[in-house]
Amino acid sequence: MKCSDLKSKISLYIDGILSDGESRSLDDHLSACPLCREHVNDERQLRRDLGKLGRPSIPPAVVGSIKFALREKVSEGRPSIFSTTVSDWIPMRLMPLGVGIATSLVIGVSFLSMMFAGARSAGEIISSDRGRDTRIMLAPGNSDGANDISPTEYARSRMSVAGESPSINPNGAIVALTRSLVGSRMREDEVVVVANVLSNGLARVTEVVGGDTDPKTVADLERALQTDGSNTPFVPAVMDNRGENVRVVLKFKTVNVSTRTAPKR
Amino acid sequence: MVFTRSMTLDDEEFRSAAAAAQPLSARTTYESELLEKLKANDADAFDRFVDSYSGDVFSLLYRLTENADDAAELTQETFLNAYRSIGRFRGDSGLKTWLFRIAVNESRNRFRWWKRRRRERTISLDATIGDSEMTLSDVIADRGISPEEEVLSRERRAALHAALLDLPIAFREAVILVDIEGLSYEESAIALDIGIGTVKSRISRGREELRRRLKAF
Ligand SMILES: [Zn+2]
Repeated sequence: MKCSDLKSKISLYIDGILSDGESRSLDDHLSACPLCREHVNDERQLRRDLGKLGRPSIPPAVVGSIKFALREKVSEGRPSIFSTTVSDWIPMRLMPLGVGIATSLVIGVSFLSMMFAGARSAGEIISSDRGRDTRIMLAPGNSDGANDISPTEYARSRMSVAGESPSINPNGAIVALTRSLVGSRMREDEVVVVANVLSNGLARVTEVVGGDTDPKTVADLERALQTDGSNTPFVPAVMDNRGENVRVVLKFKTVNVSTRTAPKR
Repeated sequence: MVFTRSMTLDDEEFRSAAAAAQPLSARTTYESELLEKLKANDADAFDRFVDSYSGDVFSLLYRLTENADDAAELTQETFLNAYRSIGRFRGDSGLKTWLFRIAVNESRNRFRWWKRRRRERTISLDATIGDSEMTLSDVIADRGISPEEEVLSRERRAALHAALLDLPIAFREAVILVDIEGLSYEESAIALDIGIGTVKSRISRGREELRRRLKAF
């Protein structure tokens, strides 16, 4: 075996990827050839030293800038609640049937990233009552989805308007559904149904407004409205001091809202 | 540009320790789960993606470009490019290998541009970087080496560095991937978009050329 024939094999020999046969014949040659032995030692040393050259570390500011750029892209592709400037939210609008929009109660459910929630604790509901216009901001919940505000507290906070328009149960199925819609992007821009809210806090869809609403979305909604136990979509009538049956319009809509202008408590 | 060496060294140590502790199948599960979320345009997953791989991509690009600003810019380009093409990625290789392939392409494009713009560029290891007090040789100082291991002498490192810089780009790419970044021949073939036989010959020729240059120093 000639040294020149082996030259190209030495790297593979060092890296341990020669076949057993080739490796053995190189071993044989090396035991007899000091020149090739030196080559092997040299290259081993080179490889070790290259490994010790070290790897420059990425400046944290660069990592931050990449994350920021990607978030912008993600929010363009599918508006995201984690975007720093624009957050996708799906407000739920609840109107007493037959009452004009101007006088109706508006309930918005929005999910804010904790990043922008600052000192607010996880899962906290921030609600602001401006007359009959109610907005609920739901920070992303704890993993169990429970909120800090209790249904009783919440209902009490909007006692003045609850007679016309039922209070949503902050721990209820409708909030959970809205939350899941934020995560999965609604297929429609808008889903509107008319529902009958019963005294026990359950509700029944009586009409789907708009013919092209995805049947699956409606089915999900119906299931949420029929969830009983402590997760009823609305608080029981007695908490609201409302009538036995209240008809409402439920409206889910995808809109963009800047988190910087998010309503404060 | 400021380099916080100690901080990322800890990260690096933590990561390599975690990688060593994890069986291969667990890593694969982690990756495929991450990939699924990336494809679903999950914002959190993209943060995780950047945390997991930006250090490796930056390190590779720094070696390929020998310029911290270029490396930073190209690292960002690599991730944006990955964002655009993640839908077409079928997971045939690991995420890191796939990112390296994008990064190599970014650097090749930059290199062509750079060759047109500036015929020559010399780098002093003692020049400070940006506003910082650190020199390039500080930045590229040894990492991930246990204390009892021999540390490269400053002279040896400078010589290796210069020899590497002087290497034809095709050889340099292969040597950086295999000998510095520690990729396998198979992974390097994917990252460089060449056959495995070509990787073998480029490694062999590249090391040969390096040895020849180092003897001249
Ligand atoms: Zn020989």
